[in-house]
Amino acid sequence: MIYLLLVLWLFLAFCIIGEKRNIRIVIYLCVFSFISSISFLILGSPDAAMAEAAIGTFTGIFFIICFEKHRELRFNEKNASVFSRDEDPPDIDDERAVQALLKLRKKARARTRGKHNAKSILQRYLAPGLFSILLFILFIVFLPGGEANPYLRNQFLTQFSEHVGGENAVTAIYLAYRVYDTLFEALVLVIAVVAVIHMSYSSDILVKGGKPSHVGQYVVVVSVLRVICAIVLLFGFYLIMNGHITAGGGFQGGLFIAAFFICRYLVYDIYDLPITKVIRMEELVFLSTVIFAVLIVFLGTINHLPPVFHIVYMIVMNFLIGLKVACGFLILFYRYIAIERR
Amino acid sequence: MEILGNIIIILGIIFMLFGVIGIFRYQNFFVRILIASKIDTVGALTVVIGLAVKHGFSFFSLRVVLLLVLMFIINPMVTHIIARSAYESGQNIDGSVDDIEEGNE
Amino acid sequence: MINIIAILMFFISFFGLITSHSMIKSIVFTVLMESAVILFFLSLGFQSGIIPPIGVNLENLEHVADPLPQALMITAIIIGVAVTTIKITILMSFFRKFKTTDWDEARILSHHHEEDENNND
Repeated sequence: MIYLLLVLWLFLAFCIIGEKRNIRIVIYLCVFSFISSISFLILGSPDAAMAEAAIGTFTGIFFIICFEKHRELRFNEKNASVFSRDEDPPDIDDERAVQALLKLRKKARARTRGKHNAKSILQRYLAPGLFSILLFILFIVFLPGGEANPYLRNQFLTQFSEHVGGENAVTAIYLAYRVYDTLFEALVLVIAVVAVIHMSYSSDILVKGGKPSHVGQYVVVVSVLRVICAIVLLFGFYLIMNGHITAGGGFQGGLFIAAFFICRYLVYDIYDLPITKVIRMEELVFLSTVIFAVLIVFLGTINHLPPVFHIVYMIVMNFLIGLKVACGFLILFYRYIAIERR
Repeated sequence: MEILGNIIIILGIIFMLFGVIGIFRYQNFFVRILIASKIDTVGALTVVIGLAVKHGFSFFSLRVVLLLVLMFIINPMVTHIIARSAYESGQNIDGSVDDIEEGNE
Repeated sequence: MINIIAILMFFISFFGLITSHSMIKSIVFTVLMESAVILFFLSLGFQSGIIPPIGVNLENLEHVADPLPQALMITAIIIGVAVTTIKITILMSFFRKFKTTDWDEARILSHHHEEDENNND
């Protein structure tokens, strides 16, 4: 079963190599992450499967927003008018400079078309192919063989309910044994939000105006989504609250809460979300996560607390991480919808 | 009960098989989306009903029935939104095949 | 066996990454490489009939999956998508400036652009 799925997985990678249309590449990517999600489930890790399923959706949404803009700009260029919209991009404000750039680009395209000849196919495809095959063979030859030592796994599995509590060993590890990993992951998400705002073409932070979603005209879809988005929010909180008992936890629940806000955007066309407040809230939640983790785990307080407080600690920590992830993805999504797409 | 459930699951898989054959059989986009919707409505719903029947009255069945209701609402909606957005972006409704995608190069 | 498939996947994506003309495809292949690495880590100690590490009194520990790589890989998945958004943002800024997503054209164009800036100075 798993091998069948993985062969399909490899086949999809070859499909992406041979594909030239962007939108098909994204569809292949979504199918790819769906298949990897099922493979993770078969490999015995429902937490990672759930995270991958949610993440595949988000990556697809981000790529599709990017392509929409890409296609629109290319389309405008083909129709000889340079920019159909009122505003100019801030980098090139002069019409003449744009024309010069386009002429230069045509020249560059002609030059690269000459380069794509059969002469350069050898160094373009054959040499990297041989290099990849060589590296693959080297990896296979030097792959450490034999059985893995189960000592650490048995340690974790036998002692986590006594040391930390709860019933999910994965949650126990990422909230108590290796909580610094989780803190650095939260830090990376904060840095990603800052980087996306900083590296964007627009220096706006506030989100105002923008294209409405086309979904607003579809009466059936809007009335169904109104019901669905409440269920999505409920499911997100369910995952967070039961993270220490069953599969799920802060990350997956946070992604579902962000999905609730996406549904809300699709239904009501809301652009006036106070992004600066959400950023402030994300920073505060991150700070409180760090302080809470330091107070409880790093100072060793968890060893002296009665087991009931361990459960309270895990629920509060999952809740904070969930809020953090939800805020991060919400900012990224609104950034793409309202500013990158403009 | 278990045999009945298995029979229903196999029935659902047969529906899915017909759907997959239909996708490759026809060329028109709207015929294909009509047939593809059979996979994720009739096929998937039958498989889930089969799972619920197989496990009898239990907590697992309750959750499966909840999932069934969600799939019953969401899957036709997704097919609807794909078909409608294809129509609005200029896909021909008569038999001619029209490639509206725009390649990178 | 699964880890060999994961390594093969990694190098197929590597091949695609260094041979593709389009920047978008390169970003997609980095996502694929991440997936391959995650699959490699999750397949450590795999055997058929493996069960998830959930439950208090787990009997017969040999058939339980290793919880440590799973906890690490959940964080890796979230970090992966955060980095992907940064890549897409850089790509969009680049595309707005140079109007291309082809690596070869971009090399020539950015070269000319630098020359122009030097001349202006």
